[in-house]
Amino acid sequence: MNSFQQSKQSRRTLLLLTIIIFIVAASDFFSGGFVRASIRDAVGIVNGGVFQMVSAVSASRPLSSRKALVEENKKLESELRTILSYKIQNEIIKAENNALRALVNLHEDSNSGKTVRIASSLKSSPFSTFIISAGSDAGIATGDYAVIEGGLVIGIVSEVGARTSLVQLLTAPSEKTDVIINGAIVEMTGRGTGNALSEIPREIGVSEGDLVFLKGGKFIAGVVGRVESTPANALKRVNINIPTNIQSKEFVIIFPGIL
Amino acid sequence: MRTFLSAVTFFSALYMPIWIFMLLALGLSVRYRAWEVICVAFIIDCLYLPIGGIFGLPFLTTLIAATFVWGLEPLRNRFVFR
Repeated sequence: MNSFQQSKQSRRTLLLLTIIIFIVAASDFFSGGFVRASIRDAVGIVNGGVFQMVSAVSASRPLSSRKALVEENKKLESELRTILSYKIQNEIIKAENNALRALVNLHEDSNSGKTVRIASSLKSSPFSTFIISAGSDAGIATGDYAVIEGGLVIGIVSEVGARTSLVQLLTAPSEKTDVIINGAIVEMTGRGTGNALSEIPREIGVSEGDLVFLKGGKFIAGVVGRVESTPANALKRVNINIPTNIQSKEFVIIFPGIL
Repeated sequence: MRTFLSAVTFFSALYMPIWIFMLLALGLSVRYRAWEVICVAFIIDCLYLPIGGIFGLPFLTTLIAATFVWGLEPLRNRFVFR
């Protein structure tokens, strides 16, 4: 077979495979995401295995010397003592909090979160989304909140498969979310890379460092950054940031959506 | 070489920033009739893109990859196959 024939054949292969891929894409679209759910489940299982392997290797530390291990042990004991003291303080604050709640007749929310592993790299996602390793089998539903430490909501579950789900970040470009800034309900628009923007009336007092709550008031959606206001404009631009590096997170807690 | 580059492209889609995938996809598309670039782009869309797509476009990465592979066909014919 000469190079011209080879070229013609490879062109035919490319055309055929392009058509097949677009047929599969169309079938996925019209079946409501059957293909993507299967692919996410497969990647979730593979990534779960990879994370467990990395954790096991780093936990076993085969190259560590005895001296290094003894030093690490001492360090961990010291950290444990510190954490225990925090725990005691925490218990005291919790008791005080319960007493205050009882005073104002607030009832405790019975909904508890599910801790799930992030099954995809946030770095590699071009659309500000990530996959979690729990789906409808674990009771996850569309509209649930993905929360990290400190009650900070980072995203909302947008698609649910049997064993995996897709979470869309609140700061995804053009993603709109209702939030509360200093008691006023306003719309927050995502700008990507952990930033969002909100335009609020000038009479609402807001300053850098104020907390932004998700509508419903239970979770934090971000922290106010720079506030831009000009006398010519009735609205002021409030930049909202997520005060943590989301990419370093391995787990999120999923709470049922309340809206 | 093509198999190696394709494997790296696949891993970049899962674990590296999107621009690395785009660079590798572009490189593969310039040199080969790289149908695997479209396959990997389809996997990226299935993994990360919500079913409604972005800006009303479903399978955006697949479309971009197909544009790379087919759009660079004249350039490949001119410089690679002759």
